[in-house]
Amino acid sequence: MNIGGIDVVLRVKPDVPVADIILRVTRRLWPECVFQDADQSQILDNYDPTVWLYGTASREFFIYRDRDAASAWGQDGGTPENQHTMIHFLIGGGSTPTNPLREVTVVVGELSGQMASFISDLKQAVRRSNFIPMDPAAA
Amino acid sequence: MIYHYTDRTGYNAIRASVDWCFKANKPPPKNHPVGAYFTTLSSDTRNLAQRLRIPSEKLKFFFSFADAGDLRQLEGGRGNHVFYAPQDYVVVKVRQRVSGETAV
Repeated sequence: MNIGGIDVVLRVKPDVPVADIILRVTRRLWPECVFQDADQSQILDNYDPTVWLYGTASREFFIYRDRDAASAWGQDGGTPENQHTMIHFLIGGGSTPTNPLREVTVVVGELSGQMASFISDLKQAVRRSNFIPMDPAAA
Repeated sequence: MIYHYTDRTGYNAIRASVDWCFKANKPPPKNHPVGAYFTTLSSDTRNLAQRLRIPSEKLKFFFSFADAGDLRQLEGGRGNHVFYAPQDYVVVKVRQRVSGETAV
């Protein structure tokens, strides 16, 4: 058994709305993308309000390039042909006194071209958010 | 419980000996440490192929065995349920549990 994908680990401040950022950046990459919570079978369109209301609370989810990609993954799993059509996100739990940052893992099929740009955009968006003071009064 | 998934060919090769030997992958993977890979996710886990990012064909058969605490965690969030041994990994009979075809 081999494990597919490349695991990119980001560390973000605990107050960063990381799932919301992920959804926005991914929608720029794939305008027709669809969302699936890792524990659910239901596939949701990215413009479905449910995604923005409840999906952003998910701790583990998949975003597929489009519905066809979601169907292919559902039927065949991860094949060499479809590895670049799904991104897997795992959002770690809260911070601890010894580790104040939250771990976010982004699993992609490859780290070149479009996907390298996506990771770069995501890191940039998270970094921008990281600069927002945790206490608004401190702004 | 630890699980290893494979296809029919892999299943027949591993179960051919009394002690199960899980081979470290060759050629080595491009993006993960060399090793034999395992998971704590059972075959009825929803979206298992997506979580492991492997073909459904490679989930057709499984081996399960008792954890000895000697496997390494994959780095990142998947390390909560994906583990590996850096070399071939032998599971003696006393640790072996169920094996066979999955419902996937």
